[in-house]
Amino acid sequence: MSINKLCQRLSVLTMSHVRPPARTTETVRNIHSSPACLKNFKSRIPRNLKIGLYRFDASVDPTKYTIKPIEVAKTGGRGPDGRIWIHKIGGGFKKMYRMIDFHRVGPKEGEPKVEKVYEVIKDDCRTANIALVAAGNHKRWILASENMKSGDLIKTSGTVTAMPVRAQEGDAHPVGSLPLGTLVHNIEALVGSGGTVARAAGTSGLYVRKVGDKCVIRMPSKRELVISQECMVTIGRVSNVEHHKTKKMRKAGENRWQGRRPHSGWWQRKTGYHGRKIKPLKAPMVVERAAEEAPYAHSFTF
Amino acid sequence: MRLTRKLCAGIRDVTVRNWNIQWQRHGKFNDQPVKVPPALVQKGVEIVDAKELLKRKAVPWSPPVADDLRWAEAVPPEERADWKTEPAYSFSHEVQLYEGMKQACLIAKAQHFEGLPPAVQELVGAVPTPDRDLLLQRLIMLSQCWNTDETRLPKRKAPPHKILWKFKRAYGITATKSSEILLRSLLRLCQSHVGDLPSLAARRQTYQPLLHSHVMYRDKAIVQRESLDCVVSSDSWLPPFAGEDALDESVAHRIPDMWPVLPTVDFTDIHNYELDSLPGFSRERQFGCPHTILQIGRSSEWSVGQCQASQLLTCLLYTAALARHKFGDNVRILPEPISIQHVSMQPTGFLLTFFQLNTLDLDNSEAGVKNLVWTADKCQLFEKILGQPWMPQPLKRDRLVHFDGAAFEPFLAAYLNGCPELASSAS
Repeated sequence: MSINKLCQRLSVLTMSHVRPPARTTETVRNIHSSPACLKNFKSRIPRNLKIGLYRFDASVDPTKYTIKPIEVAKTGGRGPDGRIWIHKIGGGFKKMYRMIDFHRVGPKEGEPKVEKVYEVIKDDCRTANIALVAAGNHKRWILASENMKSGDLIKTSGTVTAMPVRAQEGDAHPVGSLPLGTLVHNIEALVGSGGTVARAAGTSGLYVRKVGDKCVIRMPSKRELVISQECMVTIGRVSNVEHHKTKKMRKAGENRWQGRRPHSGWWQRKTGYHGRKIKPLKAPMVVERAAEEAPYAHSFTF
Repeated sequence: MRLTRKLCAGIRDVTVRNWNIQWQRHGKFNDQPVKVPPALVQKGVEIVDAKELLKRKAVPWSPPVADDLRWAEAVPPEERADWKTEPAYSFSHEVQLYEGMKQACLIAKAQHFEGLPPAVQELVGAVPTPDRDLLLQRLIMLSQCWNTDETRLPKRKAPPHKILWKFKRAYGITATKSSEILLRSLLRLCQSHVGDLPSLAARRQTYQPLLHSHVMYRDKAIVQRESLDCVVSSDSWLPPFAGEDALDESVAHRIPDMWPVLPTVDFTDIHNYELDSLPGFSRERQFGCPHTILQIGRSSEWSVGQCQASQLLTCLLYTAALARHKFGDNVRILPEPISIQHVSMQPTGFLLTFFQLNTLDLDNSEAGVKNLVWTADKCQLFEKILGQPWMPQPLKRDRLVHFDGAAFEPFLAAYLNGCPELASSAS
């Protein structure tokens, strides 16, 4: 009898005799004094849970926007169970996290919203520079475009026009209002979801064609993205264009400053899995609706 | 029955690695969505997911003895007596107005003049101080060196050319403490002229008076509730810095706008506030006429314009409280102006601001008579160069250089402003 059949027979047994879990003693250990990192031996943590690079203090409310920098703790690649989930992450200089607003929301009718750029600074948590902009009584941090500087006025419009608008760097428009061939960044995949594509330093997408009410954008990876014409994009390239030249490490210690731990020095035989692969481009990615949440996976027990 | 390796003997590939792989791939099943027959939904039957019944419901813990102080919780802001549904802006000496004087003048509806007011400018150098330079140097040494404080100093930021330098922890006198010492010493030096000017005997210094004041800006209140570091008061009000001519000219003055940003962008909203007018003195007090506000500068990273903007708003809110005490709560255009002086003390110098309140009608920044504000350049008594530990002596230690005794004269002139003896000699 094979292992597979054995498991199938056992699954039938498990399904028919479902009992509530017996009362067990749980061992809890605080990792780094944070409630987000409890080591619970009886917990069932989905292994596809994405862990970030940083961990906020319990007193920080991530839903309440603030322009003040927030102290963050590094996870070191550790998951909620305290064990390493991602290797080769750890250490590095302290970073202060600034909440970035990737949403560029403009009025659908009338004059566009105008914001003034107060300052452009280097952000510890990303390769791109960020800009402090203000309009009315509200200040926020956004991704800075290539030539953005203090004192500039940037516009945000939500109107999809029949005639293409004249693109000014730093402005944000629905992609359907722009002329073909415009370099854009901070591209929304779904309307109102905030920019997700082309946010790294020096990157940009290219608006290549329009098909009906869908617009095709070539992403920095050269793959094409098909999105609604109402998705907001920001014109121009992301700031810090020389990042790919300045990021070269002069010594191994610089990698450690960035929080990257060393690779294994053990000689490993290289297989067909290693090395650069040149493959044909994938088919254009069509984004129509949000991805459905994967159903929860129950594991069998004895 | 326990599944053991012995049991599985004879099955192909009984390695633990393969067992784990098979278990991971096939040992689970996905949650299926609840399938509800439409007929039940139409009938309005309550549908309960069976999985919810299996979940353990957390029972909220309550202390065995009610009202136990060990587990007392803070009163939420909504239940406090001063909660208001309409928020107000909160201002304090630590609020940084990003655009500086342009922003503050819009809020205060003030016309800005560079330099000292004419009346104060005439007093600069009018009263000589014997051994001025020697005394000032002693006061500076008192604030910088001759103090036994061993407080841990804030970590220094390395200059760009020595970005990797690790500064050792340092102990000494903090910037706030040295500013306080210098402030009190300078006031004492000014008061030493009482022998020549007997009216200075009517001056009083009050430390940490509470200011609780507000002004209405575009139908929303700006509230300040904090302790001022020091207020010098006398028995008579300060004379106005400018006459009727200046007030008439201010009507035509246009305050530059800062579109698209509103000048209240740097304030935070608060819901717990009271609209009071308490300048820290009662009207019946013998020396209850405020003369000068003196505050310690909060941050060394602010620009001069930002410091002056903070001074201007403090003067506005302070004189607003005085105006309501003098002329009633509903005063808009003041029958007679109220003048106040402000000194922002820093470790190496100070900033002077002079404010004259003429109107509390701040909603329309273009029409009507304006308030008047004078700001002087920073008066630097000396310069402090921080030590560079990577350099040889004497650059290794902190140094005090570029002493300028003449920088004290504007401070003295501001203190002596309003003295009847000087006013009569001038006339």
